[in-house]
Amino acid sequence: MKLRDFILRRIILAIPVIFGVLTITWFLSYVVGDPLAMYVTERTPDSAIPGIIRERGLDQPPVVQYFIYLRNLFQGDWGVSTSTGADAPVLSVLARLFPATIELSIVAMIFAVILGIPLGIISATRKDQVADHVTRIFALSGVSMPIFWFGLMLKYVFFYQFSVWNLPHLPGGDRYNIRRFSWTPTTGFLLIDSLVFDHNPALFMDALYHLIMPGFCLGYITLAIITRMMRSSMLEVIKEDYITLARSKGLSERIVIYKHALRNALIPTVTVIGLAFGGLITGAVLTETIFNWPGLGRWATRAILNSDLAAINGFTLLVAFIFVTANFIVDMIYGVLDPRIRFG
Amino acid sequence: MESDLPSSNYQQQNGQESLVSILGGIQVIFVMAVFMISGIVLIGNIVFGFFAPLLGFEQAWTNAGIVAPEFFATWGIQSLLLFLLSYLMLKANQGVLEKIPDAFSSSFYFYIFMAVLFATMGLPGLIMVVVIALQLIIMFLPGVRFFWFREFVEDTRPRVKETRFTLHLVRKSPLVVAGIFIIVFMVAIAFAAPWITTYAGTDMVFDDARLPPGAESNDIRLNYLYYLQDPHYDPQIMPDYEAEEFSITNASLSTSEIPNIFIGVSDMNTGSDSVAVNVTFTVYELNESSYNQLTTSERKAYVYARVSAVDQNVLQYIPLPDEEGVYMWELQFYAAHKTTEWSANTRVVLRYYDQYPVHIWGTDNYGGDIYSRIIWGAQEDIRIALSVVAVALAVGAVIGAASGYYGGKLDELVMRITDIFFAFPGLVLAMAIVMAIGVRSLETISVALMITWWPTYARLVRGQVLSEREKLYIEAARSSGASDTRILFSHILPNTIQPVIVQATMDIGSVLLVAAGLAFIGFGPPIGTAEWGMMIARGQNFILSAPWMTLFPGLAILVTALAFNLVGDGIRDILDPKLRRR
Repeated sequence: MKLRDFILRRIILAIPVIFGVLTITWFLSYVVGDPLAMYVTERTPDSAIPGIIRERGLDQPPVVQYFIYLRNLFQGDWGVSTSTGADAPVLSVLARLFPATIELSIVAMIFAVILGIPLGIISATRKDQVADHVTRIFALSGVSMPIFWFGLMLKYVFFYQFSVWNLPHLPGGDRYNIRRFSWTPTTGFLLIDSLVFDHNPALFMDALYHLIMPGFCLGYITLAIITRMMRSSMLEVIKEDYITLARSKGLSERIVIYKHALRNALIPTVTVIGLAFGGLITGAVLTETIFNWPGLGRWATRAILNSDLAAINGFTLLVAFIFVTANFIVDMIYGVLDPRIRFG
Repeated sequence: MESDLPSSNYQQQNGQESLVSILGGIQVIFVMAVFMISGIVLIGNIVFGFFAPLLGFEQAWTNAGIVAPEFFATWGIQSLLLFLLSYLMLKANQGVLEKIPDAFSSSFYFYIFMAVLFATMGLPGLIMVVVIALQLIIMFLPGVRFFWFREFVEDTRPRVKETRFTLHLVRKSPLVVAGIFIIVFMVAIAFAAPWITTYAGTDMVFDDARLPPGAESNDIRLNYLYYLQDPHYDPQIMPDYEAEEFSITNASLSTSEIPNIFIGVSDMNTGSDSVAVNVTFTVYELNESSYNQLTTSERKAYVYARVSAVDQNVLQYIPLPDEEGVYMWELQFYAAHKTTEWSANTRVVLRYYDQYPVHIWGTDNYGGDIYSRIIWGAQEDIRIALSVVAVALAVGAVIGAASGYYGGKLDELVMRITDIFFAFPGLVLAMAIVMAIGVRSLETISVALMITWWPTYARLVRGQVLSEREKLYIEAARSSGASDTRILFSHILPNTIQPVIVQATMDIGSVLLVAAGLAFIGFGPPIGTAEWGMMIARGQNFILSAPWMTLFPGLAILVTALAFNLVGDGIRDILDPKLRRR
């Protein structure tokens, strides 16, 4: 199969998935839930409700409603969110909050990759030694720890206790120090905006400073996944014949591991990194709540508490699309890296 | 059996035949019964309990005033698994009646599974366990054993050998051993909750709110020998009295407290404390039986101490007997105005303890004991995690196995459906489901997680079945005329179960986290229930003043999930054929 055919096949396979996602969200919000809640807020007068029902086609049979739902989605009408203070269209809220979440996720991913890959290598090269046990416990703690609890504990120690002890402490929440800086979003990515558009290095440093704790907190889970993947693929690669050959040539262990083994062991790890990026968005829901991060996650949590169905629906859809896209890209990369996949 | 003569062999055969047919008969009746009962409970569940909110029934039933029997909800998961198991057993029964050795061994396995399930179902379950034990005994009677046991041992020998080797590897891996130890410990703690906790999970002692770890309780009801509040004295039949026996023990004599009584009487309607009432409190050196035998005037000889008060609250020390023994106390009221306007609200406290219960891990903002709540929470959380994984595994394995084995259109359909489920991150889909169901409870969380989790197992089992399906031994089984279900369940599944077990073990850890996460963002039941995620949610607002509220439940989750992950991760290494035996 040619690469082009492979990509085409993947795209065709992605279409039913996307429709499935749309159907599930429709089923959850229209059949199981109350669809009217998506368009009616507390501020809607009672007299307007029959009009909304007629306008939205909520009196129509379910099949017709399904198509109306699809049409509305494609026309960019995703309902009205009530949980940001004022009533706002879901799509615009998503667009406004998305950059904050992505910025946090990228920083978290950088943490995870920088720490996770070396740890995985250490763990694999010293299998069943103390270093391996310690690394594994450290890595497994990441997937065994409730992220919201970890965030709270980090905040307690590095924000509160450090300030009690008069040590330099990390900020406990928000994207930047609101009292010292003012910022009007251009791209929405604070790190880019502050350097490229505002030319304000102080704001940039402040933003970085604010990113450390939530970034590390969110990255820790992914770190665990990367370390585990790195370890097991490294263990497999080390036993291959070409590694034995490299050793028998008299190459030093360093070169064998970092030059010969690492490259091959990285392929599955890269896949996992791609897939974990989708998982980061999930983790962001809880992390943002803890660190008061004005992104999608905190908004979604508020929406839940306010029973804001439209917001939940929009959030679910967006995250699902990110997930599908991430999987798709990973598939592509994998197909390019490893030609055998294309024939599978 | 070489020495057996044909005639004796024939006789023996005859006797065995009747025994086997008896066993077969019992089995058929028993399994049919289990099949029907579990089916009824399952349907009842779908209609009434567990899944009712999903299907929108609940509102209708509530409006119609129909109340479902409680066991529908409590035995929901068991009934599903039993239903599947008994269906498979019906097939095995047929084999038993036809005396096929394999059928005996599979029914042996099924019965053990079933017994474990029944063991979780209280008294009726225990009766079923006894019935199963009886049947197992019959299976091991020499007459019946003859048919299957030798082949069973032959069959299992390689498996037993492998298992021994696995156990040997497990013993050599410290992390797995530690993990298993922690899991056993946590489960034991969850079961022992009623005996090792001081408070119930929902208890709120407001006097104790936000006490730091190690603080003594201020709870009057636990620290005092007697505590009596709100006996509503009917003014129409005043005077009235309370009398009760109490014993002073060696333990209570080692007190540092001075015994005192506090009697408060207040007007329930106006809240005024100055009610015209005469109160007398008396302690007699009598036990209850001799107290009852004596008349009021005769009792006067045995009075140890007496306190009286008129028209006021009494806050007074009263000397209690200073030696071990059984005594009576008596409280009498004489109301000045016998009107229906007021009633007496009294409080009698005899302070005689120096052993205050200690909140070893502190209390939360409602005065709930963190230690007790964590242990009660262990019950809830482990139950959720196990039930979610069990149901997801059962459903996913059946669907995945069928899809992998039959292939074609079915496979394509199932895989597209799982693709759709995989398009959502677990927490987000579960969130959307709980949101749509709209009922905030731990059951809703479980259902949402089950719906979210089954595709993982469907995928996993399907992949395994696909790779196993084309192997030679399956071909051999098929050519010897084995049915599809038989091939699937007795040949393919046992050989594909290992990665599934690893996945399930690690998933128990992640379900624990996601369930806690859902409860944390506010999907748990509204108030009270001890659940780790909700405890953290409650603690986060007090993180600066009372960090222990957050710390300990989080540690509980961490330790439990870590244990499951350690075991899963370690077992994966151990079972991995590439890493095994070098």
